[in-house]
Amino acid sequence: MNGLGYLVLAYGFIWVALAVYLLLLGRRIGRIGREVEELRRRAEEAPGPHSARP
Amino acid sequence: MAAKNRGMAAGDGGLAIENGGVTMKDGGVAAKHDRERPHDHLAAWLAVGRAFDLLTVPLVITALYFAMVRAPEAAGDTGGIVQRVFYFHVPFAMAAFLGFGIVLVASIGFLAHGRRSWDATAEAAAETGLLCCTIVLLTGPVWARFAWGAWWTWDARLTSTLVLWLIYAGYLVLRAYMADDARVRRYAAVLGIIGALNVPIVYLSVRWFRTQHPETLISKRGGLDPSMAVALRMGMLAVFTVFAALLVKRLLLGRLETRVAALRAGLDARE
Repeated sequence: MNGLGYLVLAYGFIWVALAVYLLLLGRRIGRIGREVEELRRRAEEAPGPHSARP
Repeated sequence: MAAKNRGMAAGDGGLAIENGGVTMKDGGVAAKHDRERPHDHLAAWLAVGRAFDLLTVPLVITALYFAMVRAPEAAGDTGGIVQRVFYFHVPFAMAAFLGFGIVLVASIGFLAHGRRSWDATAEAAAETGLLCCTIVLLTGPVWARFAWGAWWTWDARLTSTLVLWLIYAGYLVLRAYMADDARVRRYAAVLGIIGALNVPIVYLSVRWFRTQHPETLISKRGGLDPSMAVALRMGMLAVFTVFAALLVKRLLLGRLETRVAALRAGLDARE
């Protein structure tokens, strides 16, 4: 491999590492988004503290 | 980021950000669970994160232009064309040091005050610092292979950097696989402080020991060609902006995870 090949490899490592981290972070953010949706649904279904009970 | 935006804007009837706190609007249920820190300024942090996002791409492109075009090619014994990775390799090393420095301050803050927010800051900074350290350990050997003829040598700078990486990898493994209780958080804080104490050793290792690694210390002696120095400063600016953008995202994620866990506990108790 010539010098340019090594340079491309080094910069490739930088962008791949950043992309992988962003992908993993995005997945965790997506999971939090789904949890928020679930909590919202549960909150809507659950009776409120002031709701009339028989 | 769409999922985050959806998650944070889900308040039209369920969850919302109000005055920086996550609030449940349904029938006044479980409002503001985190009694320790009622105001996390999540909306402000989100705006800061977006500002860094907008700055990142133009700064990285400019830094790449300076590194690839404006900076002169180095002499063959320092790597020739491959030396151009220096303009990102060194800034990522500095960003890693900054991240571990934040871990040090936040861990001391957590041990002194016991606030979860200090602990969450330390964890976020450790993760972002470890990413930067990983990039340093990936790009360095490529440059070394071309300049020295070997991917790796066990000299003081390379070895101490690897030790630093292992300490913070261990720190994150400890946090990921142990129960999230006060004792583990204290252990993690101590480990975070020990890891940060290794940073000056890494930085000064090229002065203390005979190493193959070039001596790259900040000093008044200079030695870098002016156009190379400009390219390095541009690289620093771009990489520190990337670091800040990632750190803010990771901090936001940590705070949202804490809030969602508290809301879940509140709902579970109510049901």
